[in-house]
Order: sequence, then structure tokens, then C-alpha cells
Amino acid sequence: MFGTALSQLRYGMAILRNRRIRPQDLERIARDLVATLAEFGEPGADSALLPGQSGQAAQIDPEVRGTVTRRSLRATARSAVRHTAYYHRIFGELGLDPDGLDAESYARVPVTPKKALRSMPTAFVSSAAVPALMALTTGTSGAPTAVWYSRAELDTTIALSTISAALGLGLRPRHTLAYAGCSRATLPLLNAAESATRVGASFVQFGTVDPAIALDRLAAPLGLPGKAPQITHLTASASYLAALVELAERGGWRAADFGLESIGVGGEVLSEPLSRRAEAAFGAPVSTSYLMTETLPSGATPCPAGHLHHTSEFGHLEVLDPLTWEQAAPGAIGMIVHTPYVPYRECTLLLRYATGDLVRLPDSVPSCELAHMPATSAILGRWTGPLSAVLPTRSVLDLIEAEPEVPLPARYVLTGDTDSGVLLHVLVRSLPAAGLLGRLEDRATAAGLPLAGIVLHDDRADLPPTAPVRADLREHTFESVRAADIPTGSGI
Amino acid sequence: MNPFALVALSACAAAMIGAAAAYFVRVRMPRPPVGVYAASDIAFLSVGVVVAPLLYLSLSGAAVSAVFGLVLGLAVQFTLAPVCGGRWAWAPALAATAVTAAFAFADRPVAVRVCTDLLLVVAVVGVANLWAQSGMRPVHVAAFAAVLTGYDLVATTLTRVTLDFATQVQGRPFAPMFALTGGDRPVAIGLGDLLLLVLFPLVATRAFGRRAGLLAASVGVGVTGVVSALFAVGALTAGFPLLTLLGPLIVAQHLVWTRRYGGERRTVDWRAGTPVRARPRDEQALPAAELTAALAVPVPDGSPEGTWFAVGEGRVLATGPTPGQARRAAGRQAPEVPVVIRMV
Repeated sequence: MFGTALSQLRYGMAILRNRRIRPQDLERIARDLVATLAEFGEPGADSALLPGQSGQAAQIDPEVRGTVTRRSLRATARSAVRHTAYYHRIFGELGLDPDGLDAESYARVPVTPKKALRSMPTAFVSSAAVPALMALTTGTSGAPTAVWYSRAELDTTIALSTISAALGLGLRPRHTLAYAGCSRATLPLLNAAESATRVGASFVQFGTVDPAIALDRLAAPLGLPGKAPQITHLTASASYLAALVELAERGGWRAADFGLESIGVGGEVLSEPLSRRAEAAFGAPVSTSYLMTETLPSGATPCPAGHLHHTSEFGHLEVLDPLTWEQAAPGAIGMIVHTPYVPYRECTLLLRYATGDLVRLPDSVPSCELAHMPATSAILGRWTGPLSAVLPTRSVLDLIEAEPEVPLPARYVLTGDTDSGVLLHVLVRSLPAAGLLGRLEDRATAAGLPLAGIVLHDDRADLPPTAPVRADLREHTFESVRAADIPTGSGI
Repeated sequence: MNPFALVALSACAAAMIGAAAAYFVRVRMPRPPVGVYAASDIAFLSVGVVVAPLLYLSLSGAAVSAVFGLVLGLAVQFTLAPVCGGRWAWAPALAATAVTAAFAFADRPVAVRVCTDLLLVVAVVGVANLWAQSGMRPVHVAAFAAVLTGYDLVATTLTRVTLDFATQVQGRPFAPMFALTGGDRPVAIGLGDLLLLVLFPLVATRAFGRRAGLLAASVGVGVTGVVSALFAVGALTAGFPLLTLLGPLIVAQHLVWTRRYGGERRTVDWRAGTPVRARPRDEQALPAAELTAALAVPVPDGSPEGTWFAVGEGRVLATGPTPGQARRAAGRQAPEVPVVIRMV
């Protein structure tokens, strides 16, 4: 009790003074939370006030919050200018003083494009840090982005993930979490494995193997003492989940064949229809959250009202027009531009980092239970040009993933432009599919999608080149569940 | 010493344990979001108990009364807060503290003693419940009792710390002793003794069940009765450290129950009404019966190599080319049967 209180006090003081966080303090809090859950079955009062939970901002006076934001921005900018080559040069050229920044003048700091980080990651590494791990993004939109993390950052992130796994995901020792993300995505893999096992749950790394193998592993009994009979939690990208849903629906699997209690999706846009189909196929609720390698530990959580609420504890959120870099207007689409704060980050320092992720700002001030946290829509898609804001990924996936005649993960591409007319090309199971085409056209019109037409293809070779998805990062194994010549039987 | 007061003291101890038990069952106290008791907490408490009387001895009697008045007032407030709400609980807490102080100023010693006793009863019920409901384990109470036993022996019989402290606070408002009579040789129990007397039955009930709680309560009341009887017959005349008897008995009970059950019931299981069950020790933990049975099931002749068998209820329920498909086939046939997978 006293030790936990002391750790919480030290952690709070480090945050207030923008001083280095002792990872041991967060680890202690996380460890004691797990022990608390084991003893009492639930956390005590005010667990929303724990690090990384949503309740802290609600308790803080807006004026105090403003002061904390200003101090955090200045401390982060000061560190970045003093210790990184990129910001040392930028601030020198523009004559900006990091100690004079506030929430308004911070807009004078140039937005950092993803390309700048991708082209020279070391220009963003602090000379005062000890880099320990290079975390690479999957690079589905081109070359992967490298982000260096120190050992202390990893420990801090893992401790925060443990708190989140215990409270947010509800992970308990009887659970088993399967991670079906890319095995080369070191940071999320490390976080998932460490946080799950620290909670006392067991962990299985699937990787992005043949979805048929993953499906089989989900159905297989575990037979472990003290554990649920089958895997209870699955973490996957949206496209890999789509591949699993496709196989489950077409392979005659039923929800009762699995023991899943929760499916977590991240890294890609999860459409509403896919979420519904996955829940029906696996009998488990599907949830999604927003995290990205470059801006950890900042992230966002959806609320029942459909907003995505961004934590203001770990970083500063801006939603900017991707063409002008001006603040997006209420109701408009903008790009998430994020500044992860020191002291949560100490190795790769980023100011006003253009994530590439598009969101829409709410028309009015939210009144939901998380209204104290900055709100946007769910992630709409990735910025690839003006067309991506007019017809974002989510709007297309919501349209086509509702149709069983479209194989999952859905393959599509938009051609043309808004002046000459945009055509949506979609891969379907077979042609002709007049009924499907009519439905898609009707629903596109009802949704207000500015499409000049929809073209269906039943051969992927005829489809114009599509963007890769994470499910394409297929990992090979020596297993095979397709070519087996052993029949399935029962009642011996 | 007044024999009636000595009998009444044991009855009061029993009543306090009963009141604390009733509170324990009916009232849920708030606790912090994170935190369970650890050895360091007991060390911290023990240091506090040892150092506090030495500090008090350097203060004036009035200052010590003020400190204990504040502590008792706060304890009464947080004890009543879960019952009548945090704000409303301040009213009786402040009123009781103020009335006690007023009687002291009016030089009404009996009224002061009665009020102080009432405050102490509520505070002890509250503190014991706070610790027990916050997950303090029997091993912690036993360790605390062991430390206090040693301290009590030293402070009461080998030095004058307890005697000097008792003399300093005797007759004062908010004195940390439950006293039924006044004078030079009051019939009284010290706050520390009272706290462990009430605390251990609660913790034992939660961790080892109702029987352990009743035994702990009986032992506590019995020890109080025996010591009272020794005073009544004149075998004891000066202050006697109750914990020198009670402490070892608490440690002994903890050892007996732990040995019997191999562990203890968690708070979540106590609240859910889960009965206490003996937990096999690590070296006694046997393999799950269904796994052993699955290994014993004969493989049907002619089964191709690489076939997966879903085994349940001592027979092969289904086969398949993969574990998942064998499980699926078995699940369709006998959905409720736990299945073990084995390959040939």
C-alpha cells in the first residue's frame, strides 16, 4: 500500500515537473494493479485516475490543463531542439524559441512530414538518449518508418500496456491472448506478450500465417491448468481479421467452435460491416483502438457515441487540413498531427508529426462519457491525396465489406479524379453479378459517395493495382491445414 | 480491582468483535484503485507503533490528547462514511469529539471516559475493517502481532515506556485505552491490544472461513477473560501486556490454518461466498485427470499417422487432420464435454 502510494507520488511529480519517469514506478503500479485484481477481482475506487486511463483529464481544471499542456510542449520542444539534429536546424533557421511556445504559437512550428522521419530516422534521435530498439512500421504504404526507443521508454510503454490490458481489455489469468499481427512488428509484439503475461494471462504468437492455420489454432483446445479451454482473446489487423471471417463463413465454422471472448483490431480501418460479421462468426465483441509506432504511448479509445477520444496525457493532438496545415474546421476532415510528450518519450523526439491518418472533427461539442478528452471521428483512412479525403477508405469499406459476394479482405481501387469522375473497381467472387452491382450503386448513392461508377472484376489480374493490406504480409510455416488427406470423423 | 468491571471488560471485547463482524459483513469500505498489503506495510506500521509512544512522551498530556482527538475524530468519520455518506459522517464525528472535549473542560471524568470509550469502539471497528477489507492477510496480522508481542514485553515489563505513557494519558480525553474504571489501577485494554483482538477474527473469517473467525474471536475473548480472572484473584496486580498471550496465539492460529488449507481465500472469493478449500501444495499438484485419461485411451487400429483425436469422457469423440477440426467435430457431437487433443 505505502509502496504503491509512493510510486504514484513519484510518477505524478515526474509528470508535473516534466522530469524523467522512473520506469520502476510505473512497473510497480502495474504490478500492484495485477495483485489488486487477483485479491479483489476489481480495482478500487477511481481506477480511471491510473496512468493512461481516461479519467485523469476529467479531474483537471481546464486552466490547469492549459498550463500543463504549455509546459509539456515547451519541455518537449526544448529537448528536441537541444538534442536532435532535425529540430536543432529547423528552430535555428526559423529563429523559434522553444521556451516561448504556448498552444497558439506552437502552430508556428512546421509540421514534420512522415517522409522526413522515414528518410533519416537518426536526425530525430536524441543525443541524450541510449537507443535500444528500432521499431519498424509495416510499411504497407511504402518504405517502413524506423523509430528508435530507449530501454526506459520500452519499460514505461510495457507498464502502461499492462495497466491497459488489465483495465481496458479486462485480461485476467484465465485468459489466453493470441497475437495475429506481423511478427516483425517488434514493438506491438513485445508490448502484447509482456503485458499479457504480466497480467498472468498466457500468450500465443500466431504471426500473419495462413489464416486457415490461425483459425484452426483458435478452435483447438488448450488443455492448460487454470486456463479457459480455448484461446479467449485475439489481436489482429482489420484485413487479417477479414481473412479469418472469410474462411470461417465459407468453411462452415460456427461461433460455438471457438472460445473467443474478445477481438481487438488495430493498425487498419475496421469497417462496421466487418465488425458485425466478425462478431457473428466468432461470437465475441470486436473492439478497436488507435495506436501508432511513431507516437506511442499516445493513443485513442472509441466511445459508444462513435467518437475516437485521444488521450491528452501523453501528447498533444492537432487535427489539421492536410493541404494548408491550418486547424480543421468543425465537421471537416483533417489529418492527425501529434506531438508525443517528454518525459514519456526520450529517444525519438517528434514535434507536430503528420501521422497521415484522416479523421473528421465533430460538428458540435461532444456530450458523451469521454467528452473531457479531445474527440474526432474514427480513423477514416490514410491521406494519399485529395481523393482520399473525398472518398476515404472507411466509406468504401463500409460499402463493399457488407456484401458477402465480395471476398475478404476486400480488394478495391479508385481510379480517375473528382473532376473527370471517380470509378470504384471491386474484386468479387464471380461475374455476372448484376444484383450486387445494383445494391452497391444504390447504397453508394444513399451514402452520398461521389462515384461516377462501380466496376466489378472477378479476376484479380484484371483489377488495376490495389494498395497492399497487412494480411498480405504472409508469414510462411511448414504446417498445412489445406492439403491434409486425413478425413474428419466422429463417434469412434 | 472491581471483579464486575473485569467481567464486563471481556463482555465488551466480545461485543466489539461482534460489532466489527456485523460491519464487516454489511458495510463495504472504499479502497484505493491499486494496492495490496505487503511486508513493507507491516514494517511501516510496526515502526510507527514503536516510535509513537516515545514521541508522545516528549509531548505534553494536552498535546497528546489533541493528537488522539484528531485521529479518533477522523477514524469515526471514515467508519461512518460508508453508512451515512462522507459529509453526514462528519457531523457525529465532530459532535462526539467536541462533547468529549467539553466534558474534559467541565471536569467530568466519568463522562470523558464513556465518550472516549465510544469513540474508541467506533474507531477500532473502522480501522480493523479498513485493514481487513483492504486485503490485509493473516500472515500480515500474525507478523504484526509477533512484532507487537516483542515490543509489548520490552515496553511493559523491561522498561517503563508503557507505564509512563499510561500515566501520561490516564484520565485524559481521547486516551488510547478502553477503560471501564478510573483511578490508579483502571480496568482497561490498550488500543493496540484491542485492535488485534478485533482485527484477527475478521481476517481469519475472510481467509479461512467462519470457523476460523469464530475460533479467533473465542481465543481473543478467552485470553481477555483469563487475564481478567488473574487480576480478580490477585495473581496479577500491575499492568499486564495482553499481547504477550494473544500475539503467540494469533501466530499459532495462522500457522495451523495455513497448514490445513495450504493457502487462503482471496477477498473476491469471500465476497462471492466461495467456500474455503484446501489447496494442494506444489509438490502435491497432480496432472489433470482428463489429460491422464486421454493418454490412456487406445488409438483405434488403422488410424493414419498425423491424425488428431479429440478425446473426452475416456473415449475418442472425433478425429481430424488438425487439432481445430477434430475439436470442431467433437464439439458438434458433444458440446458440453471438455475435450483433449492428441495426435498419432
